[in-house]
Amino acid sequence: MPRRLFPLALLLVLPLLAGATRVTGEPTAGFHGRGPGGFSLEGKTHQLRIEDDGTALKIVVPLAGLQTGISLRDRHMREKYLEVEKYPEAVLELPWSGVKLPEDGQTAEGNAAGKMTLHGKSHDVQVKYRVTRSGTSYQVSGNVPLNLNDYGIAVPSYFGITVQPDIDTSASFTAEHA
Amino acid sequence: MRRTSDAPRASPWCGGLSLDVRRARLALLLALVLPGAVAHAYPWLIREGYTNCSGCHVDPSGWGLLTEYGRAQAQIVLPTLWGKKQEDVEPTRGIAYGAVPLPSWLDVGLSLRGAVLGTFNDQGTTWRDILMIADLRAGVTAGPFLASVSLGYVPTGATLAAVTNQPRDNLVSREHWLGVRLDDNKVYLLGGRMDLPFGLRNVEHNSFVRSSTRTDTDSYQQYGGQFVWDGPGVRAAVMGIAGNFLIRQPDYREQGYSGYVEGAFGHAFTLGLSSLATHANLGLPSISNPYVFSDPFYNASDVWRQAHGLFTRWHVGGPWVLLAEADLLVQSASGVKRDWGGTAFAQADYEPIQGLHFIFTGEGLHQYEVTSYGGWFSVSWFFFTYCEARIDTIFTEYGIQGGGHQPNLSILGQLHFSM
Repeated sequence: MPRRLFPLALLLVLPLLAGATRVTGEPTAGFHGRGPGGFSLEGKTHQLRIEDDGTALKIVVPLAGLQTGISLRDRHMREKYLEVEKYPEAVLELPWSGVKLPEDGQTAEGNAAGKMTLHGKSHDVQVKYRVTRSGTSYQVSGNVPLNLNDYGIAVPSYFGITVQPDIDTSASFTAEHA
Repeated sequence: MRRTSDAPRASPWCGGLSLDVRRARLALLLALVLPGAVAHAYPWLIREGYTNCSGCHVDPSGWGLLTEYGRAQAQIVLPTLWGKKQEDVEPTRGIAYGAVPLPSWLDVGLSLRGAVLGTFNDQGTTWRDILMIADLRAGVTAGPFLASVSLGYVPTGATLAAVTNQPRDNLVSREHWLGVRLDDNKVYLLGGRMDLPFGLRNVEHNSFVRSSTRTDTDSYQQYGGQFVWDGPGVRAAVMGIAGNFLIRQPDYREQGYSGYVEGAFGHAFTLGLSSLATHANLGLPSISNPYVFSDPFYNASDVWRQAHGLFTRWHVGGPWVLLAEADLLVQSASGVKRDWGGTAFAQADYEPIQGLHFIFTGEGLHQYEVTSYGGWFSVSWFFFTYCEARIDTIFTEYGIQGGGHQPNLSILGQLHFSM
């Protein structure tokens, strides 16, 4: 390839790489929090998208759709704690170099270093993941423990029940990866 | 409302009355078909993702006095909101719709339930109005310390919870206990008069699973000490039963244990195991079936009573919740043939719009070699904050000793105010 054509070819290929991974089916993302005693709550959304630039995978979760089963609690979560209008998304950035993809028909599990951006703050996190491959289809699930204080999110407290700041976030989806 | 002073035999634990058997049977039947004489026991709240009870109730196993959080939930998730959305509700603090503020360490509640009952069987048709409950409750949650007490008035019934000793018009205290909670409210140590930890803590206190195991929340509380574990995914309680000291004659008091352990598998399904064993010098009569004319354990000596079973709560999805319980019943006494029996209960709760419940219940009981079964169709409507209207249609085929069944139809309308 003539040298002067190389940058042009790269420019053409990069967008293809960026679109090489896409979600199929219905993804799920959410969190699990605990309060005093056995009190617990779970939030869930089926809105999730991934962005792949070839070097890192970004898992993006729009937070406005998070639901906990009680819409008043959802409103408080959106407005008072996550401040969704200012910080609409949670983003987990995961370098491909840290992820082990399985062979066809196999499952891979592991821990990978990533970066979580939430409520306008970013922190390095450890992602526990599990990937099952079937051809070019990958079933992915993973979770990230995090502390609300690290992200400047007020610890939810309501009528005497205070949620612990340590919560567990999770996501599962199926993706096509060329 | 059940072991009333109209009990069909002499009632040695509450002073003793002897009435005409036919009249007494009818009275007991009336007592048996009074559902929901107590407030706040809604295991179908698993629909909201609540698998534990301690967030909303002072008693960590559920029922009765509400916490501050529970009072807020009672305004958000229980009633029909008449066009408002849950997210538009601003729960009031305190009680009486916010008119009476409470400090955060004090909980106060009031429950009033009145009913009209129609009973139809081959003995005729009867109608009566009933004050089922009029209880004032108070509790303290100050740091690790807990206390709860209820005091109410009933014109008839609930004699096992009566602190006065009259044939009618008694003061009742269904519970009064003290306790501490430790380890971020995961561990509770309680002592006093409490509901027995066993099975579903359902509002239908006269269902066979509650009456035959004697674990209802109407009057079968016992004195004792209780250990409760209320942790993530698992809750458990075991109570050492010292006896019901409101029974005047000590020989009828039961001692033993009662407990359960329940696991939550996610936020929509739980499975629990219950166990109970008690001993009394003299046996109390069974009141599960008014057509058991010869209860072999009544007044028998050295009576052992056991119940062991499973229970489950399952939010199937959307508006549907299923509740079920099945228990093995074993009873023995000196000179009496050991009785093996069982009871089962299954209930589907359908809530198409918030606050309106269509409830379908089936139940069965095999005890003293007779089998009874029944079905309920109920409509419960929490039509306004703290206010419930409920209609139950209950058809029961009571087994008769010696063979055959006695059909019975009851229709009960209730108005319930509880906060």
